[in-house]
Amino acid sequence: MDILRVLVQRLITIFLVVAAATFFLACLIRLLPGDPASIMVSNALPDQVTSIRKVSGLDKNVFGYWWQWFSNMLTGDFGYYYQAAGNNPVSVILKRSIPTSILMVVYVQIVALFVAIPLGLVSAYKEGSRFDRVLQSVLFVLSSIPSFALALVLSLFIAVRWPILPPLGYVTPGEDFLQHLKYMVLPVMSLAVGIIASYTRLLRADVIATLKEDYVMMAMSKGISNSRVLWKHVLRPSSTTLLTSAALNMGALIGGTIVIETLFQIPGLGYEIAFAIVTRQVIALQTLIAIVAFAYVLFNSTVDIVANIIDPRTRERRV
Amino acid sequence: MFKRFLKKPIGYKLSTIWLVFVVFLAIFRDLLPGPEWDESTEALGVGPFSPGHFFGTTQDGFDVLAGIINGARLSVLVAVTSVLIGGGIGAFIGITCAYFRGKYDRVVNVAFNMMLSIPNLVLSLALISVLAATKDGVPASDARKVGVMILSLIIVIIPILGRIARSATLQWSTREFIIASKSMGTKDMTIITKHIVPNVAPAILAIGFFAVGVVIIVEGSLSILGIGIAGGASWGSMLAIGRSYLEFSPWETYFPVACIAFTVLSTNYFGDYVRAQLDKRESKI
Repeated sequence: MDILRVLVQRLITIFLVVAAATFFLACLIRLLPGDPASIMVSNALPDQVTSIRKVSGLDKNVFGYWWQWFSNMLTGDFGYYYQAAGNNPVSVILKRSIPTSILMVVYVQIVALFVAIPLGLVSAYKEGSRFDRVLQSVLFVLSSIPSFALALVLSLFIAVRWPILPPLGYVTPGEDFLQHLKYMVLPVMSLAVGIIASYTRLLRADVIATLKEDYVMMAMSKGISNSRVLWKHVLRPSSTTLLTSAALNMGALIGGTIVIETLFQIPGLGYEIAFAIVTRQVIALQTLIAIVAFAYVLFNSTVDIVANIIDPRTRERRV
Repeated sequence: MFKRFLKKPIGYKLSTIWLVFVVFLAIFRDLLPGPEWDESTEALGVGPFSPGHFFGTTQDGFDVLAGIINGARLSVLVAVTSVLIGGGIGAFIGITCAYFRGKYDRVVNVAFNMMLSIPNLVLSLALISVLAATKDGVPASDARKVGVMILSLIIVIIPILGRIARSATLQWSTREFIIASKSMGTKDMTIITKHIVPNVAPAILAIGFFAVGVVIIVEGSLSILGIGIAGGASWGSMLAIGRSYLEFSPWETYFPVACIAFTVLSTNYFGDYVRAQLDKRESKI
């Protein structure tokens, strides 16, 4: 079957890209001046260094090291944080940080789509009006403001000067869902604003094109109300670009949350990456980056495959 | 030239003025009057518009305006060199890939995919933490950190611009005039420099402008994460220090944040502008 072949091809590509990317990382680790084992644990005893080198595979050559680490990953062993007090498995951290990051990214997407869809529809419907022009300029400015800039401004005004929301920290939804949402508002807002801007611009362009179609004219002339035409007849055919790019954004967002997670002290993947860098846990760092890269490639390829199934036209275009 | 400039949209004028201003600060830093950026004064954390310190001072008594002027140099240096060198290499690889195709193209494509599979901030983080590491754990000097940062950003930018150059070249390399030129026996390099480069340059330029913005944001992000340039020598580093005192002296954070935001806004504007011009031209063909 055709789709099955595409699927298998894709999976092989994902595997190869991730393998190559992690090998590249492994080479980087080995390029570190000095011995990674003694970098990770300061003042380590000689026999501790030897055992770390043995457990992590650092005593082998680059390829052997990479293969041990990579094959361990495939069997669910994600390496260790090597500390003077003992080795802590990275999987414990992953269990906590992956859901946190995914939740945050999902919130950002929901907020962004909820705001961007009505804005995009209205500004396309009123193309060229004063509302549209002002909105376009405002969105352009918002899309250019770095998320950390927004985060700093928001946290001063909404958390410090006028304390209605906690300035930093995190509560899991299992503990207290309402508190969890409160802690998420500021980080999600700082990330979502820029994305809202780009989503609105994407949807606006597509809706403008759809509004020129004959069937829209037909629907309008039948006397269906404008808002109904927009929501029922125009939105769906114009939303493919938006949804594709929203899906593509998932992977990029996981990487992009590093700074925001650090600023707001949210223990997600990005925060752990920054922490691993500061504490020089190179092996944990390698695993964390590999997971981000894997998520990124996986999302991109899934989107491609799904788009391929939904819209057969993309298949021919790619040839 | 000035008359043509006046006819441009307002965003174009503002962006040009801001970027010219920043570059001016970066070049003539040493000639400008005012306190030194790294000399502490008696006034600790005084607000903006106070006498002698137009933008106020930090909690440690450094003049914020002097810091901004000094920071412009590093931001411009890092952004311009990394985008020019990385963009140049990326464009060269991308164009030759798309033109010659074959095995070379396939290998480069896999390498690009691999590097693009790691988000750009993460990749530069990994590169810097490796390249800036010293044997005995002593933090690297600032000059070395700047060098490492530029090198890492070059590596990050190569696949981004390479990908764009490649896809733009693919569109052009099958056009009739290229095929005609090939069949007349023109040398490959001549075709590339005379026919392909002028046509793909606008697309690369547009992404190049966006890349400058990305680089400036990455520089700020790295400082916040604590592995960028330290000690307030760049805008990012100023805000990384200032954010601990957000409650007491917010101006310490807001002036560098505003500078970063304006610069990114301006370069994004130019990127958008070039792309819009490009779309107009394409639709005429």
